[in-house]
Amino acid sequence: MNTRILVLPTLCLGGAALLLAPARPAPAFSKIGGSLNDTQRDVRVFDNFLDLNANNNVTPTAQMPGYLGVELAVWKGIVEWGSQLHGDGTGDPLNSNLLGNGTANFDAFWAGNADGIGTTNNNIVSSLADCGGGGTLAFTETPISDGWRIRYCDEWNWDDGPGTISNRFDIQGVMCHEYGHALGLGHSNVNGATMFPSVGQGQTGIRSIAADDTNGIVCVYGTASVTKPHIVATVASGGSLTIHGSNFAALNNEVWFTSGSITASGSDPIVKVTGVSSNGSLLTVTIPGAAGPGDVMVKKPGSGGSVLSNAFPTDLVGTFGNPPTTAPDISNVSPSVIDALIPGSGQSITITGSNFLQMTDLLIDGTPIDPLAYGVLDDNTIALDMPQVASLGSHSLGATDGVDTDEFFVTVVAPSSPKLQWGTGDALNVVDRDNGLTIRLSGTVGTVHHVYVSFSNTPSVNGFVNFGIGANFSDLTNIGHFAIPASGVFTLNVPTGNILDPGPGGLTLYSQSFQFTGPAPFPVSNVQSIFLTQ
Amino acid sequence: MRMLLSLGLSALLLGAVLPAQIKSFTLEEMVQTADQAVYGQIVGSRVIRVDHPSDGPDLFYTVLTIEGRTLADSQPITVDVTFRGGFLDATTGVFNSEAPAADDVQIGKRVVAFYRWTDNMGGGVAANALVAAHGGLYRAVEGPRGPAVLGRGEGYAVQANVRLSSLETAVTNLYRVKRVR
Repeated sequence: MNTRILVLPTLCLGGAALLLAPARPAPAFSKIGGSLNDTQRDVRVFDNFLDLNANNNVTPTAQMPGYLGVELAVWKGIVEWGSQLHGDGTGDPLNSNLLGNGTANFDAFWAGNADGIGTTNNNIVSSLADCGGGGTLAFTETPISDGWRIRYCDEWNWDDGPGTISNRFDIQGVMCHEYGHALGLGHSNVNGATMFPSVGQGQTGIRSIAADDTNGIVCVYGTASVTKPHIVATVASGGSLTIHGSNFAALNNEVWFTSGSITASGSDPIVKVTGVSSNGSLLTVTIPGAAGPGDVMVKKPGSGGSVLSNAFPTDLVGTFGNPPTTAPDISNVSPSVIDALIPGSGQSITITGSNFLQMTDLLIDGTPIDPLAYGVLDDNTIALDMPQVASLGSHSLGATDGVDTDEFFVTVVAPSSPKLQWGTGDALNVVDRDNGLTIRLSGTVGTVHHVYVSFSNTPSVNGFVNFGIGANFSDLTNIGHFAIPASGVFTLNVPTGNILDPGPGGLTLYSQSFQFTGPAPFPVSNVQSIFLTQ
Repeated sequence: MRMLLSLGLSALLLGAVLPAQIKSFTLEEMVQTADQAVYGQIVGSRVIRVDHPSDGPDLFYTVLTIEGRTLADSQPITVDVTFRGGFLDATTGVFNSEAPAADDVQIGKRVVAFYRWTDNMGGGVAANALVAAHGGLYRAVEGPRGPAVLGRGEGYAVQANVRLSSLETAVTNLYRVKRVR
């Protein structure tokens, strides 16, 4: 024997030296010494209960798929100690009790059924046909450093709930108490605490841990770490399970599943998928064939309660919890003041935000933009070749996943200097004469722009103009002058018949415009070149 | 007399409560359940292990030998009282969540124990089982006016500290009633 044997009710005897004196120690939880490490979190049931009322609950609990009877009652009993609500916390129809949220660095894992009673280290709950002592309802065998075993004394009348239990004893509440021992707590002398040593027939209040119990588990395991993985939703589809949450590791996570079949009492019952990567908040695994409905947990590399997530339900086919929104979200557009015409197909507008990989369309004023005009660089960045809009002023850029759309408003302005675009606007972009030619001009609204074309990109310079084309005015042809409309962009669609036939070899053409406003020299546009083909 | 009155009142108030883990007991319920109550000194302690095909392996029981007298009729008695849990050596055995505190069952300690014969405590062990595990055993200490029994609080058969003589009187009366029934 060693000093750890200082067992449970010693607190009650704290005043022994003060014989017959009324003073008592302050009521509080007690500890038995030790704690469950992260390899001892599994809980199983060997269902050898003989009492019919122990296995007659046929009311399923949405957040606890796949189990009824004793198993369901035990599952509810253990998740009450979890660090977070189990799923949405529902499952106990009595006492307004939400299951979970013990707030400690501790979570238990429901591992299904075992094929036997097991040893005192196999973490299995079972019944003992007759404890014979006339007063023990159930007990937990420890020490817990290498596991535990819980036995219910089957000479009592047990009830698996889920509601009121008449004059029988409550499997769920007693499980909550006994698992308190398994995780390291002794008895408490706080009346109303789950760890109070005794309970009566028909009583269900100990299903819900009290503040004293919470203080106890926090004392043993500490407050839940801020780095502890936290599952908020599970989404199963097509044989895969996606787990949403936070604090997952980038590499080498383990995902734990409840076994789909009865497991050998001496075996590790947890179905594990190892080496799972995540982005920190999302991970997806193929559901193993051995898995069944139950709970999942995520364990990131390391040891201790802070590397194990809360337990979260899954039926392996549907959704549990509320997956965080995956809708695209635009947080910024740069620049947010955009010229009405930016010649060329360069994607010079940078859109930043989140969930862009979920985007189905990028919208301008609600209308999808040609996908060729933008690129989704990553989940957070889009590069855009700004399309022309019908007017100057405020316009909406929207990112949508087909369900939700997030908008960001930009301002379209007339450019401060003349702009000219032929075809795509890129240098030497190829224009097929057969398809016609689109020319766009932009500048201050109401100003008149003169457009010239040349076969030469040798400059022409005098006191009025400073062109980069025209071979010193020896090769310049004026193709017209045009006023900039209120939209800030004038568009000229030149039909094939009005375009010079370039011959079979094609022709390179250069173009530039100037804005006919004083004083000289007049503002000129960019030089635009195209390669014209037949 | 005042103490006897107090115990009787407690029994009345808590009549509906049972022991979880252990069922809660009043003194009257304890006497109804137990074959006998003994006051004496623990003079021996041993642990047995049973591996049973249906009740499971690794069933450990502690057997206390208590030498003293019966509370009901003050007859000398030496009796073995058994509860679940115990260690054969430093590493072989189990703690049991509902067992008495180790400090309470050391050899040499004086105790009041309530027990009843059972043909099977589990694993086929037939023994005088401590009723309600830790709820059936109470430490006794010497006081200035004779031995006193240490109460354990609400839900226990002996809730408050009480002189042994008072407890003895109460138990004697309750056993007398039990025999009449």
